[in-house]
Amino acid sequence: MTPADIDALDASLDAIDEWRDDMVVCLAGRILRIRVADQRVEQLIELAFGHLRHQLGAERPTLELRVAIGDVPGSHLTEPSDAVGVFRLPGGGVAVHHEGRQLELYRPSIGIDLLVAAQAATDPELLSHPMAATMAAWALDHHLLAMHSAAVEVDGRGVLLIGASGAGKSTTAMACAAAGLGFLGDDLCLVDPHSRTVYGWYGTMKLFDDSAAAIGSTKWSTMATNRLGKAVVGLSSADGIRLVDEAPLVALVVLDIDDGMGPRLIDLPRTKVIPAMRCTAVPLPGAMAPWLSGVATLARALPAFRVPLGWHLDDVVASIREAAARGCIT
Amino acid sequence: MVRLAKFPLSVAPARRKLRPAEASDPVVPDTISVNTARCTWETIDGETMVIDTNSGELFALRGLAAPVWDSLVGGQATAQSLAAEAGRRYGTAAHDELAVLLGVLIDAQLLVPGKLATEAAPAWPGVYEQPMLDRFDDIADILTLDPIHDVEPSAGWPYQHGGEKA
Repeated sequence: MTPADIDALDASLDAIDEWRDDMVVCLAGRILRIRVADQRVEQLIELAFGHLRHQLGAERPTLELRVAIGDVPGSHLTEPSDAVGVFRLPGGGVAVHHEGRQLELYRPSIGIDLLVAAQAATDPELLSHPMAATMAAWALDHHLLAMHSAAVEVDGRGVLLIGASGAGKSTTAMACAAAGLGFLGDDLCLVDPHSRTVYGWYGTMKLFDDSAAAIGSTKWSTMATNRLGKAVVGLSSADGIRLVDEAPLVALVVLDIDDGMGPRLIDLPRTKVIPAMRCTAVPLPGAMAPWLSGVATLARALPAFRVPLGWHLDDVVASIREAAARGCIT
Repeated sequence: MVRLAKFPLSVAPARRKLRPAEASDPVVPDTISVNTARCTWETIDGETMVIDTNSGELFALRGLAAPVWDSLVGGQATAQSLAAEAGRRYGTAAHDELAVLLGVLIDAQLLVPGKLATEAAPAWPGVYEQPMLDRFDDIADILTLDPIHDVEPSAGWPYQHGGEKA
């Protein structure tokens, strides 16, 4: 990865004569314009962000995104440390290189650019969360935290679902969504800790087959399967899922392992909240201090609970409903 | 991936140069204060959560550890004097336990040689609560898997301050 790779990416995108239709979306109250240059990426952008589509009025977009397929600069590199990771750009912003298969850039004065190798256009992680790292960096510049968490909405109240990978965030979120609760995200959400608002980000989910079977929703069409065996699914209202753009955050729920006594809501002391939320941190330059400040703000303001999970999903959903009912509304 | 370091159980005092009941031990003479350039912290209900922004490690300080940390934010003291005062107020065990904990924080570079004019003055609690530290390295593991590189255009990427390629 060298500065020349960025120049090469710019040259590739600037050489594109014809961009397909713009998609304008509203994410966390900000207007974003996404331009795509290829039908293959148009489809994945629609799956990820179609639920946030916005009719542009007099307002100006606050962020421009360009997505194209092409030769990814730096793909010849073989040293993992040279090809992988998040690079802090001089003057602000980040570059994220995904092993020669994707290069994404966030430059505050320009926007977000993503160049995808043709053979990577169906990568499960790309399909489920395109541009996650660069959008998280942009969000950080706007005092929003990208959190590795799920979230659902209950009667207008947002509940953040916290758990490490494999803890059951997706299963819980989808069980709630299948029961009629609003879906805000199953793996990544944007949170404004100061206004205590949680925003829906991606209209996709990743779910194991056994979870899908337990939820009773086998009709979802799988776009890809990731290396862990999780199916990547694009959600839409046609599937009976109610995708929600935002909700006031009223409670934090830590998803815990099955203790054999069934899913139920248990109060979590405030001092346990920050350690329990460490799995929500997203690695980005300069993100650790805002993350700690943000989760401390949430921990002080909101009631926190833990829910031991189990396959009695009705009880899981009931626990989440109870957390929302006991949540803090200001 | 959680590494729990319960004190004084999992870190033997012998690992540190601070030794029990040696308040005048000359081995660690430097004053210490919080490394504000490297870490950030929040206190909730008497517990202080510290994050090392370089490594991503999270430290939860409880009991006597929290007021001592607070005092070292805006002031400085020698580790020995703090441990000695804890020993004088609460007994030998308190001396030893605080000395061990301070040693671990020094090792982690969360406490560094102090350059402050103010002397640290902990709000010593009336009742002794054992200083405790939980240390979590999950975020550090994430950073290792998905490293953040600094860059220097003339040196190629990645680049770490100090002139070496990462």
